[in-house]
Amino acid sequence: MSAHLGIYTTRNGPMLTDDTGRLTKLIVSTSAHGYDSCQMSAPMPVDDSFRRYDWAGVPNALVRADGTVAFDGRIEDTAIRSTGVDMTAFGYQRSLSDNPYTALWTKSTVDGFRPILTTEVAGYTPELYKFDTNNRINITLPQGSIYGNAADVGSMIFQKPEGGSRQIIGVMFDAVSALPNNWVFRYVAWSSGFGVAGTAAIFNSGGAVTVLNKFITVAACDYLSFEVFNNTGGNYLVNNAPNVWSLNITNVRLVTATTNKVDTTMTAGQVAGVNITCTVGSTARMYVGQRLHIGLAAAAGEGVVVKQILSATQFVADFTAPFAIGTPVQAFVIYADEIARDLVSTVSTLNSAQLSSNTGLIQSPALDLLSESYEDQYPSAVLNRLITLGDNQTTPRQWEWGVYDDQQLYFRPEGSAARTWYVDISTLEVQRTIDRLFNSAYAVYQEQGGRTLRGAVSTAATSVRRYGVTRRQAVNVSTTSLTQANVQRDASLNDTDDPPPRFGITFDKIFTAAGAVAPIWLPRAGDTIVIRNLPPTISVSIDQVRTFRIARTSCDLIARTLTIEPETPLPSLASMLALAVPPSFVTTPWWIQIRG
Amino acid sequence: MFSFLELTDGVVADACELTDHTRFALVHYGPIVAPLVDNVLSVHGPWAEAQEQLTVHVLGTTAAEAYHNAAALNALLDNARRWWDRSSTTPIRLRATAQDSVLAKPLEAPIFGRPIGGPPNMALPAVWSEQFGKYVIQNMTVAFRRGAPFLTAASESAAGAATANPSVMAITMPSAPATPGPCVFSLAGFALTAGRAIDIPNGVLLIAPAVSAVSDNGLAMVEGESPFNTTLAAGAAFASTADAAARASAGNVGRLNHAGAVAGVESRLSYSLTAWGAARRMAVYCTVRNNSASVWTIRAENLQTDLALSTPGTLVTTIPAGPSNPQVLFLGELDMPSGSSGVNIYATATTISGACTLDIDTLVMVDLSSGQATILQVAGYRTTLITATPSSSVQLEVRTRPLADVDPYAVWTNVGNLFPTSYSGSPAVWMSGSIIKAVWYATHLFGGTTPYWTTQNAAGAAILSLTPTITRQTTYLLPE
Repeated sequence: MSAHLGIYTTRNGPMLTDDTGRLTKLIVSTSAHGYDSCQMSAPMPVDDSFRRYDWAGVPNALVRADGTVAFDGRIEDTAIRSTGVDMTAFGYQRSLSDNPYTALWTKSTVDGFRPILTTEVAGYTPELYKFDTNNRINITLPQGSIYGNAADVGSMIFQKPEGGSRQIIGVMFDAVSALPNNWVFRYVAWSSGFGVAGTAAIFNSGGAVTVLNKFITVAACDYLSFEVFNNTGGNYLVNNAPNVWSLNITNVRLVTATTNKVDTTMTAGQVAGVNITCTVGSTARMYVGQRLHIGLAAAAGEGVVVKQILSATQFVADFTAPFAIGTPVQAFVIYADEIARDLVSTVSTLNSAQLSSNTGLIQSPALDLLSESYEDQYPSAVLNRLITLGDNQTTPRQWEWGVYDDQQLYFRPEGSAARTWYVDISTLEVQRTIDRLFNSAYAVYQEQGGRTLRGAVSTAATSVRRYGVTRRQAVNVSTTSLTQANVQRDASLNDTDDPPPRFGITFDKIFTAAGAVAPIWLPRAGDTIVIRNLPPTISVSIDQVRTFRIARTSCDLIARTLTIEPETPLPSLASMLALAVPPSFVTTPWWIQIRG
Repeated sequence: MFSFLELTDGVVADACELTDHTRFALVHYGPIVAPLVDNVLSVHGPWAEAQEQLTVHVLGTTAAEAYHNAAALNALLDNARRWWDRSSTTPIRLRATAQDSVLAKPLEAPIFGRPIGGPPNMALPAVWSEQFGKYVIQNMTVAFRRGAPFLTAASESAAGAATANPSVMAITMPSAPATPGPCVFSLAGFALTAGRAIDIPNGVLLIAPAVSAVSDNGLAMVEGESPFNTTLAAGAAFASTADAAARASAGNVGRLNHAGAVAGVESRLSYSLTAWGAARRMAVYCTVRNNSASVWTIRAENLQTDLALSTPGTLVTTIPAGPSNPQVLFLGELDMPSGSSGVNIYATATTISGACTLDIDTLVMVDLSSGQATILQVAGYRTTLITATPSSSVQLEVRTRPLADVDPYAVWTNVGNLFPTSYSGSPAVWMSGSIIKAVWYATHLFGGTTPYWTTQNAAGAAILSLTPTITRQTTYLLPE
């Protein structure tokens, strides 16, 4: 049983030094996001210390014990003392806090749309139109205005975050066109600085009110505008009753990725009606509450909301029109794992030695996200948000992210890769509290215009009966989708309706399920500890006491102790646990028990 | 108690013999029996350093000479500290012979200088007196740290047979000491071509003591194509597949095909181990190749007695989408309360793409429960030397030489030249018993272009044969 600290130029670079033999302190720790820190101290002459001080780059510290990696990180702090050097390395999760990230992924609100000014693009005359974004995008042709032919364009534009790494490539929306005859409703995809990247007519008005639903893949662009203009061949004077001619766009959704879009076709003809079963090639990535586009590209199209998923090929919705076999059924879908992968790509491209480009440990929550845009946020902050959004499970789960071995980012359901360790406790202190109890919750989300909305209250009845009190929590969700908001509400409720007690315990060894003594460097944050020697009949809440998740481990390889912090420590952190695993040839218990 | 006690740097003129009654007269020295070390770093062996004091009279024909002799002893201790600080290359040793010892030569222990933050090397009494016709500094105490074990200056050595890699190379040592002794492990057979090119892949060196040279115990390797049982996911297939072209071990690999399986459903391959009943912990390695654009996951589990009794396994390891070259995977560490009779390997494709096959060439299991196993990841060399040299042998040496080096280390050597190398894992090799096994475990991207399952010879024409040698010093915890 022998551990080793090697220091290398980079993760896979040449060795700089092997200081194992002179270490007087070597403490490695794990926390919610993987390897956390490694504290090292070594006495050495000052000239040796300054060689370490002057190392170029960010050296890698790798602690390995019997083949198993106990810590893998980068040395960030070096302190010279007259008698030696102290160094602290942090896990490669830190690489996700090196550079800010700006990117639009999906937008489903109308805030941020504004008219294009004449000073920005010649031929655009916003003063001839009235615009509003009152929960819609509205362009109105006022009474008395005169519009030149193919000129005097009225436009509402959205600009992605300046400097953002992703471009808009798709848009879907509902629209009601009440434009004059021979007026055109189009979109324009703009590159930064108002160069046209692509444009196409969406609808050539015949003068009648027409309901539209569109699903459009556009040329990659930085801005996207909805526009109307006169195409009658001559000047057009608005002389009808005020505010009749207009265009209203609702349920707009912009995306910068289409990897997971729903893009199937009807495999059977479809009648109009309520609660109609629609048969399609695949219902993959569909979900209840999702808005689908139905129709050929050239047709007006219809937007329907999924009410039920019956099978891999059938869903239920209300249809106002019949559709023929082969009709496209489409929707944009954005999953959190796409974002996580892009973060990995961004970080590993910029700092290739700090994070692996391998995304094999990133799983998909399969939950469609409707409003995800980040400006100057560190990837770690983005991931911190994504893990709280839940997933598509019936009881939505919390997720976790971090970096352990091989500099690989993991993004997965909380506890899905956890191991379980068993202990026999020698002391126990339990405090029951309702401080963290919330057995009722509602979501706070936004309508398209930005107004705050509140969803229905969901209550965990069993928890209310158990605790005799209803404690309600408002769960803030950044989305316009009630469906997504309620998923996050339920994920939060599931996490708080039966909180574990605060407790502290002391034990001396840690075992596997089979009863073998495990080395102290194997348990990690996120793993589960089970207390074996508490009888199951001692309390109705025994499972809450007997099993807990590790929030942090700290393993002192010199003192040979392991300190474990549970998710719900005692207020004084008296829950600090310590153990030491004696070598098998020591017969007298000698381990240290620490109570903080 | 001691007929001979000396501090020396190996230079006769500098040596301070504390029992010669000419310059020094030993008053008291009670060596500490070092306890097993608390920490898990163990670079100086399984024992903690000893912090000791001895008492001597310092003699001289004049007062100045007595002080001169004391200064000589102090200089040695200062140099010992410098050596421990890695700023000097001359080790200082304590050499001791107990009265009536049957050993031919004194036992030796390295000295590390004064205790860190502790008292000075020596404490001279405030007074001295003239006795025995000499000037005497009476009862001078000398404090120092030393490496715990006393070692024989001589060592024993044995070599194993040359065998194609990877294979379990067994070495039978001349003696079977119960106390672990420091070893220099060398692996010969790598080569430097006449064109000055070196092409040695990164590899894992595994060394472990064993009870028997013929059974699996201690260190075992099994062929991936030879599970004794397979329980496959529905629609999956497993077959022994010839891959001599990529120099697979024994010519074949085990090919797991999940093209017809459901993504995420695991197949189980069971491999047997014999004589592993005493093992309590083991590390599991394997060589794999992902032949498809599928992402695979793989994990290991200990198998006890039969298929129905398996114990918790390793974490899942992800194999990125391929096709990829053969690679060594560390699957993790398995803890078992009552030994092992085999290893279950669970693998699945998390996405099904194309052919969707995963090849496994070999698995290696190391028994860690002895506390003596060494696992070292060693960086190889692919370079061309500046100066032309004749074809010659290159060998890997893992040097645990407490009397010569402060720290153990690994190095490539070539006719006396040292090529420093990067390594990860402890290079400290302390072994007891007579049977020691080793495996060189590496895949090889020969010339940076041609992938092989095994390490190739200098021309890239065949699987390389390697010859292990171990040189071991005998350890005593007390000079006897």
